[in-house]
Amino acid sequence: MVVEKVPISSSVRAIRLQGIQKHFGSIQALAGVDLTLQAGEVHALLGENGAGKSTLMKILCGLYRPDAGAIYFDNHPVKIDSPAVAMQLGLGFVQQHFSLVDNLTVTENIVLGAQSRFFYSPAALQQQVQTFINTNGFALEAAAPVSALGVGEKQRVEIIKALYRQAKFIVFDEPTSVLAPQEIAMLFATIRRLQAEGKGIIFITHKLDEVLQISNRLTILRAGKNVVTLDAGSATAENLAYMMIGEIIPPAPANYHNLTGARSVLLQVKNLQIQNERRHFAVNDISFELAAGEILGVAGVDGSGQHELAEAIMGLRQPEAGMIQWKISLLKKKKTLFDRRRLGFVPPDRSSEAFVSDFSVAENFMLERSDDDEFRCAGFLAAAKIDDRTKSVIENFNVVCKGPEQKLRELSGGNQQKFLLGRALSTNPEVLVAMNPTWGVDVAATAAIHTRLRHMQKRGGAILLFSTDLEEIYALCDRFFVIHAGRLMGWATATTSATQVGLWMTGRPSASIR
Amino acid sequence: MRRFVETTRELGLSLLPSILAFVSASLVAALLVSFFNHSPILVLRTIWQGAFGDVYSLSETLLKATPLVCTGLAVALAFRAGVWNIGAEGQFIAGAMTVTVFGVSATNLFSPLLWLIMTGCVFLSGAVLGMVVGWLREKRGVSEVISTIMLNAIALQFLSYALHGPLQEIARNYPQSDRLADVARLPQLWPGTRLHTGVLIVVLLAVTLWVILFRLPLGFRLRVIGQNSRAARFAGIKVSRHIAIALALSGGVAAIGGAIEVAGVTGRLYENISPGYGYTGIAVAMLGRLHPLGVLPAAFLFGALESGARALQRNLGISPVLAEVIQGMVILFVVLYETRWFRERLTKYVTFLNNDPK
Repeated sequence: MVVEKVPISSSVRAIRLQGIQKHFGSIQALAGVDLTLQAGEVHALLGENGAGKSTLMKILCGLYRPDAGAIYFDNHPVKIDSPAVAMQLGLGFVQQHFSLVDNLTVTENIVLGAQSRFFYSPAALQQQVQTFINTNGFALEAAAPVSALGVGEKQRVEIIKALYRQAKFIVFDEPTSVLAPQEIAMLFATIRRLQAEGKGIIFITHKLDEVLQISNRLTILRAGKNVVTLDAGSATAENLAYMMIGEIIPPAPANYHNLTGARSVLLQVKNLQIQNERRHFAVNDISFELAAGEILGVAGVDGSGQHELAEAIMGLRQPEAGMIQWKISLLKKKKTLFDRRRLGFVPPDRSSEAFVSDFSVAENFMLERSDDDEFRCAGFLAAAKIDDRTKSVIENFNVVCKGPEQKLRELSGGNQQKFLLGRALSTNPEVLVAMNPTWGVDVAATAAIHTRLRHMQKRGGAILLFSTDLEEIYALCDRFFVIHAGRLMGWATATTSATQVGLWMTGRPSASIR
Repeated sequence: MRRFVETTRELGLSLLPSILAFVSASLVAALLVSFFNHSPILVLRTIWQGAFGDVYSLSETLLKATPLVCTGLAVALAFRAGVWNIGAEGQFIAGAMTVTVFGVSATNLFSPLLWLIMTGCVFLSGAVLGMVVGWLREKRGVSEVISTIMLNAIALQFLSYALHGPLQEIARNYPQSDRLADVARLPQLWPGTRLHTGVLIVVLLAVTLWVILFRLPLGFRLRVIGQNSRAARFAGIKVSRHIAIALALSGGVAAIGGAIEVAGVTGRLYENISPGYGYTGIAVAMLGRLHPLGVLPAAFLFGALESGARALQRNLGISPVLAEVIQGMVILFVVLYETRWFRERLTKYVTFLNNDPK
């Protein structure tokens, strides 16, 4: 592809992405996506986790190269091979996690990278930036240090940063997820103003109400393909939810448990409130019970509070209010920590939370159980015993690897995940907290993992299954609830329609159930 | 035993870049002195002779290596748990002071029990300093790099105060302590040299730390924290408590180094009892690939440099500071050989040589 010349952004009428494909190893993240963004429109990009929204945007901002497909500015093909090029072309990005330097002022953050002179007058620059802020209709003090700003204000700094670099097209990646309601209203006013000035806006979100409120057109991505592009006026929340999630075939009812029988409750969670590091309520007023012999699902888009909830249940995070009560004691002898042989845990992120990649498979096997008597011999680690137990997990779960001595990071993602499940289930725990247990695993391995989980259920174990994959929830769970922005939106079973669940996942309280 | 042999072989392989770095640094240093009209070959040979030439030189090399083993081990141990202990210098001084307190006061009463108590107190003196660092880190979020450096300054000033006050020799002539009682000294190992049993103690110490790190559950947990503290937390390991333990152990090991130096070599406490052993220990730990058994050859090489530099001064009149220049360059080369850029070049070059049809 030949880049003819960099088109001047102010005259560009439309950006067109055509046939964009992207693979990561054997996984196809994007399978030929088309998208056209006009100047002067707000274009919403919708899709579940893993639908390919972020990958597409990372291609647009020059962080990834597409395997196939092209990007056109009007009819000029352009090659965006770095964020700097994206910036020159007039593309601005307001990320979910701000890229601001906290101990610099607003002015310094705005000019950072855009100011090329070696010497400059700070006072004059501040004056100039303040004028720029005012003429663009923002209320923000150019001299203020960024660390003193609230989240909404920081986001405004990001927007001004993009405008200062003369962005004509701006991508907002889930901009409302960090904002309070009144800040959302201000953001929407800003977006409308930018739109009126002829900017093109891409608005990525999970929240259907916002889509219907702010966008002119919208595109739905599912499994790396665009399902549809339509005018926002002709859409309803119900059909959007349906198109986002697609058809889910309810599995055979034989999997389901009799919920009316005598239940022996193992875990009671009542009115739980958890604050995250940003002092937001990540979990807000959630109550449920987990009984022996059931698989209880927690559905929701990623980042809805599942991590905090799971960590609190595992005793790794202190809740602000409410209670987590176990009806059986799963603690270690004389210890305050849970006995991982009886309470299994599958953390969501293999590489950063579940494993030490540079350690051997055997060492990773005993990660949670280094003080277990079983693996100790006169105070020393019983290497032979650990190797034996690791081997049996490798065999039972069909983990492809050379043996217990191999470094964990040399295993494929799918095999790591199988090993992770194997580690958690090898002691036949009474309770299992599993987060996205089949993440990045192929179909056969997924089926194998599901069989294991059902097996555990049959022998009376209780499983709390967090999954962003609705099909998995439907396939495994006796019942499940949907979490959105830390709140429990509603309870569902296999007979609840996926559309209803989709509405809950995207923040719509129940209108009609079933 | 099979495992021990395996790990030593593995370690040998991973030490290759270190050896390469050492050789490169020596060559560059030789080149440097040639600018000042010294024959580089003569300089290198003098260093070699001074370090390994005869039994006495070799014993001096081992003598110089001994304190470096302790501080190197201290740094390596802490780093394995993911923390930087820059405070080995202060902990070394603490150990030296503690042994002096016992050595000058307990005179002829020494018994095995007293030896045990003395060793325990020496270890504790360093461990307490380490635990202060761990406590500051856990409770107040103070970076261990800052607090260990500050504690070094405190330890150094406290030493100076003690040598002008309570620990000063009875004659009150110099800022130094009285000689340690003979019973508190480490026995000679080799008649005719200054070599003492401390050499054996530090080798034992290295093996002990290897066992702790690679064979005990505690060391396993420390290594997990050092590699991925988030995974450690998710696995139910109490991270900050273990980091405090690592710092305490590390401090104790450095303190033993100080005690050995006083009880084995100097026989009394001076203000400059440590010519920067704690800081050189960082270099030793890096050169030894942060492995307890790797620290032994690394400290030996640095000891050789020190005694080689003495010979340079004796025979050629070249300042022994040259040894420090070489030490600094060794670290630069280790860092260089660690970079991905260099490794890629190296593997490319090796495969190119293998595929060469000639």
